[in-house]
Amino acid sequence: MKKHFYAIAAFVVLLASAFTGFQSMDWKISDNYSVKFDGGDPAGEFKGLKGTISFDPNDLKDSKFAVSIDVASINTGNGMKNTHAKSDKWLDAEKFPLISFTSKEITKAGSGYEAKGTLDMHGVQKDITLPFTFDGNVFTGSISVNRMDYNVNTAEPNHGAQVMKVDINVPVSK
Amino acid sequence: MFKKDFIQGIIAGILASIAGIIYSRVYFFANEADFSNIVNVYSIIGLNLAACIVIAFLHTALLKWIKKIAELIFNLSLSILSFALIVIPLSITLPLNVQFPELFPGLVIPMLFFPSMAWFTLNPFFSSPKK
Repeated sequence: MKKHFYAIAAFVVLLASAFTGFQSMDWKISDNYSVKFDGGDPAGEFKGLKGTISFDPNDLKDSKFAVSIDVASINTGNGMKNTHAKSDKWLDAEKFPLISFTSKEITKAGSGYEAKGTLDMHGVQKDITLPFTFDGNVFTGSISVNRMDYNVNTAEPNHGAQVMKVDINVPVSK
Repeated sequence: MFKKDFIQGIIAGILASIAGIIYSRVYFFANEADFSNIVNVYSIIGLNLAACIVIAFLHTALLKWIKKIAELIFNLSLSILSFALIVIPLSITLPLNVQFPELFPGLVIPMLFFPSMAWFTLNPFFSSPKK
């Protein structure tokens, strides 16, 4: 038994190191991320970004995003607008507390990548494509979201912008 | 004539500034909402002095132009103006790094009344006795 101890130990270490290879796809979201939206009026940002980011540029097939933001964390810089945005007339933070994105497929696109998946907002699920780059442990992406597609205050289509440009900047660490 | 109003404006500005600084400190300790990069000692003193000097100009001008009912028009205008200014803190968009923008109007709205309150408080010391 003693004779085989080192061989077994080496095998265990080798096996464990293989698992660290699998885990290395997972990234932790750093605190200094930003999820900003801009439709002219309103403009602002969300906080409360949570979820799992599994990404390996060399293994896109097994890469996946499942992230969400806290609707109640919306900040437009104006207290009244924040209250309106969280109300049932707009995003209804009480009934739909999260806006989430879950990727189905990540592919290479030009110098960056594209994540195809489902954006769940205000109780409506829609398939979207999120183009992004991954450089220096920072995910950067930008999409346009039309609030009318997600039944957000459809009664007042001209009250504030319909299409919001959403800029996402997420530094990550292992 | 303006000399008297100017002195009243300066003293009212100082009083309003003191009240504003005290109120901003009390508000900070009560709510722990920090708006010091927008509302701080310097901006409070500057804005209150400027407001009270403008009030002094307005008072002098009205007394010169409409002699009879100048005080009535002035008092009414100052009260309406102070009240109308409430729109500013309610509609202003703060930088996104400022937390709790919901609490900003609670800090600023009472302060909007400090210059006129200080002016009216000092008025008996500066107004000429009626004959």
